[in-house]
Amino acid sequence: MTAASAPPAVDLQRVHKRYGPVHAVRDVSLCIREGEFFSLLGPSGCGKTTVLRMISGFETPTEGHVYLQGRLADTIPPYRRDTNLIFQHLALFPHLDVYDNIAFGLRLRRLPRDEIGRKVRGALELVDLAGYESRRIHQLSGGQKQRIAIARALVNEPGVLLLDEPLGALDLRLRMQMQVELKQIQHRVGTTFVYVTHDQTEALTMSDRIAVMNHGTVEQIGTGREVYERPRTRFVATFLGDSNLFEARVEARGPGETLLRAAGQRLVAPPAAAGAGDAVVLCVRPERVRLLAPTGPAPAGYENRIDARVQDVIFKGAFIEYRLAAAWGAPLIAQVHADGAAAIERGAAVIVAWRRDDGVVLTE
Amino acid sequence: MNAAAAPGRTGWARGRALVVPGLLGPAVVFIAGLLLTALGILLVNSAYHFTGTRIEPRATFEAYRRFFTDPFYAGVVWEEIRLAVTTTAICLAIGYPTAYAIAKIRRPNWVIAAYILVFSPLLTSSIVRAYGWLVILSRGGLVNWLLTVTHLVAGPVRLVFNFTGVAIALVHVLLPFTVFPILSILLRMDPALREASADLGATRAQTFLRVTWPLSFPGLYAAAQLTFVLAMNAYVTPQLLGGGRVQVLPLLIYENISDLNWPLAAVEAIVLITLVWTAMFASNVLFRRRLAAAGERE
Amino acid sequence: MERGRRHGMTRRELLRRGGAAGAAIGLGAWGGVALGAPGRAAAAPVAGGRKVQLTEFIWIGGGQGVVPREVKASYEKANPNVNIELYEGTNAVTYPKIVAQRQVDPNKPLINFGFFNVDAQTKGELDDIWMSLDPAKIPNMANVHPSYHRPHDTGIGWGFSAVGILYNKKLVKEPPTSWNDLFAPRFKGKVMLFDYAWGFNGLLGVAYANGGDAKHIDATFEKFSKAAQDGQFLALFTTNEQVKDALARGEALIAPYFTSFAITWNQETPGGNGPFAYAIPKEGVVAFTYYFDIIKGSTPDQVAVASEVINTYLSKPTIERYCNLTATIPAVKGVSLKPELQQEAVFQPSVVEKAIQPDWVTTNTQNNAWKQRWDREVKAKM
Repeated sequence: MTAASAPPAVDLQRVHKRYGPVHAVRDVSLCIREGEFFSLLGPSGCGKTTVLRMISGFETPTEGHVYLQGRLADTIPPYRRDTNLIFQHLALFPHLDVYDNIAFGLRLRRLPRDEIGRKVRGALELVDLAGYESRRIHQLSGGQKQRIAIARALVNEPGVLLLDEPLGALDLRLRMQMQVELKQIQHRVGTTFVYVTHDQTEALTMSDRIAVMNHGTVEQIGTGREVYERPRTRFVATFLGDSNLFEARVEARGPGETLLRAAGQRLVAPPAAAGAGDAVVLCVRPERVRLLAPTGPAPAGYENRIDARVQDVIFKGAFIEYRLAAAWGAPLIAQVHADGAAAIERGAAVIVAWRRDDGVVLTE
Repeated sequence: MNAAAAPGRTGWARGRALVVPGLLGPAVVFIAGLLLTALGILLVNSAYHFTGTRIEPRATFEAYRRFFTDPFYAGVVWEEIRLAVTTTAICLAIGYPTAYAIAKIRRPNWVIAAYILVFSPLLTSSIVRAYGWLVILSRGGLVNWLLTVTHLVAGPVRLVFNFTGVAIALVHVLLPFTVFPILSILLRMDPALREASADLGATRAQTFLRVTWPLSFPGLYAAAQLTFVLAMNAYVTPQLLGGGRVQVLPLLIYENISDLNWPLAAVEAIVLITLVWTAMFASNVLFRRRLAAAGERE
Repeated sequence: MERGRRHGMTRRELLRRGGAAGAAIGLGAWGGVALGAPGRAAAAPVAGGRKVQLTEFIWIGGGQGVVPREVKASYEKANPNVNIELYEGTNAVTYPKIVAQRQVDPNKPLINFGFFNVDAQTKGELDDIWMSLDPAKIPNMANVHPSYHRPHDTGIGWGFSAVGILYNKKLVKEPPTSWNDLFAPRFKGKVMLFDYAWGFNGLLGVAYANGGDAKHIDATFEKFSKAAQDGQFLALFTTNEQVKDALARGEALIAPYFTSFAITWNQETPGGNGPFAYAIPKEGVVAFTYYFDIIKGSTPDQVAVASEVINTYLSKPTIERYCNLTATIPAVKGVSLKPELQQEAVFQPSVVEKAIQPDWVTTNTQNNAWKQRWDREVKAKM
């Protein structure tokens, strides 16, 4: 790790932001490493954009501090920060052509003319738009505008590139393509990317680490796998992907496991920081459960078994999604790899089963 | 539409194609009809003979000959253009910062107050405004008093019953028309553009010069045109504050109409219209590229 | 030109003071005046009882509208088959409309009869729009001073205003006494003139005072031109407020204008003692006369009604009331005005007799030409 040698690219220490009575950001601490692709993920209004704007300098924290490359940045205006922001609606200058848009920052730094030309061409090559110098902004497609915005920011070689939901306006196909490209660009230039999005797929696709935000606070920080597979809160579990949630009570803590009771059913879960009698939530991802015939043999390890009835069968391409109702009425969801086998009929009685370690115990 | 696709058009699509002409039609017919009729009447009238008390419908170009050979009219036209250009320039110099400041105001109550302040000249009649200026600008008036007590001038200066007074009052009257187009374009401008500029390293001044100013140019241009046209056509202000020293075409036109010297009035009106249209057309050609650049929207 | 309107404004103002008492008397007190039916037996209805609809032009402004409304109400009451529509306006604006309508349909005049000032009267004679009045139907025409009759009775005069020189009596130690004082060095830069209005801006006054007239005006233009060049004139004005304000504040010291304004402006000043005074030039005031006219194209029934109404106006009590309300000098013999007006210098018979009666026909035919000269020779040199 470089933590010892180089300071973090972005370091937020107990940052708050208040707008009058509105507490938009509460006690956020983040440490974003040099060269990292870091996402701030959360629903709209969760404070993620405010955090981004505090990093870029358009907002000042009400409390706490922002450090950029180890320097206290609270009072540095945006135009003197070593960050560049890609705006939600890109904010390309409509009165300038592609070349002038990209050269905007370089000219302000009074670089020699030929150096500016070289850098602009380099930036255009980076985003695969070589030869577009004299195009006007309104002549570009959505994806091309996107790339020009990236080029305009990256050509300045910022220490940190901030991206505020820049793909929101694109259609799904293009968005997915740009996600991959952004990731590739980031690999190539090695710049720290801080990416704000409300789209969990986008965050999972691109990020080295994700901070999941809700109501102005960070609920969990971790790699995509961590936050998806080991969500720490009910919010994280539901915001990232689908979940089966069981309201449960801890019956006993055994070695390497926790015994729970939910709706009269005994369930086995991995160890958790909860004592006997505590109310917890057991989370099981729909792709981790298996649907078994009521009469068939139980596969090894599938200790948790719940009687359910199929209510709906939805073919989703790569998998089949079953909507089920547990014996006590709770809705359940299961995703089964579409391997060509016949789907279970609607109305059929099944057993929903999963292994102990497929579940996650949420204590908050 | 290519030929192959045309027969495939549904009745609904055909109906929709008629919507725009259908909606605009009456206005176009009305305005264009009125304009052309009026112009036609002007042209016909301009070629009549004026006996000294009435017109006779026999074709002659004596009104034109008179207008274009008498140096007096050249002086009037020059005065007219000088007044309109001066007024427009001052209006822009005051109006742009005003619009810019109003666009920056955040508090709704202050915005309302600013609007009222700027648009207040429109709430009073031009005659009342002119009398107000008459009092303020006179030798014993407020402005002269201020200039004298601050020793900016040795004695009272003539600010009214001349070009200066007319220009001052016209600026006051026309300022709302200057501020409004600039303000509306500044308010429509995406604030993210200014932020993007700052983010790319521009100071406030650099952002203004490189982003705000060029993008607000169409508003400035519209404001200039509007102000210029209104100044060219001003009647009441030069009439009441000029004291006879500011002779402009609208005043001459009015007097000639009331004397039934319609041929000369028509020629003067045609000259006025031509001046205004030429100015519009020339400026459109001159600024076409800048306007096209700034006018493009995403 | 808007002489009628500008003059009219003050009449309205005058009413607020002087006219209040008169208005209080109301219709009843004088309503009994001979609403004569001179040309017919009192019992026979006008126009044989047929329905008559006609339009009367009156001058806009409260004071000028009072008497016409009273006359209309009284006449319509006595003649239920008649409906008189009052058309309020100014000579300057209304006269061209009358001409325009006549070109559209000479048998449907915009106005059938009404009040016209000497400017419109003269134009109308040149344009041949006035009908000859029938003295048999309007016997009160006999009461009008002979010099206010028109050739062929195309209209009948009923009163006039006197144009002299207004001045600020608090600042002017030595008041003007002659039309030529407009060019006196002691008033340099302090003279205000009405733009274009030859009757009341001094042009005709100066011309006649120096032996010229409307046909011999060149010397007068030269005088004005030279004075303009020398900075004699403060400014030209087009509304009462401009000149009133400039005189009151001393920015202007003198201005040729209607003498009645000095009276009414003083009354309007708080305390009633404003700085305004009028001088009667020794060469005489310029008379600005007012007329009644009937417009050609009116039907015989309309003419019959209009004649009766004009006859009513020309009756002594009616013209007296109108003149008292509007401070107009009556041209009807034997009219006695209220004492305040009788005492005014400008209402004295000697002044009235000496008044300059300009050649309005020439003035009107030359109006546009004079404006061109005025623009070049006076305005352009100021």
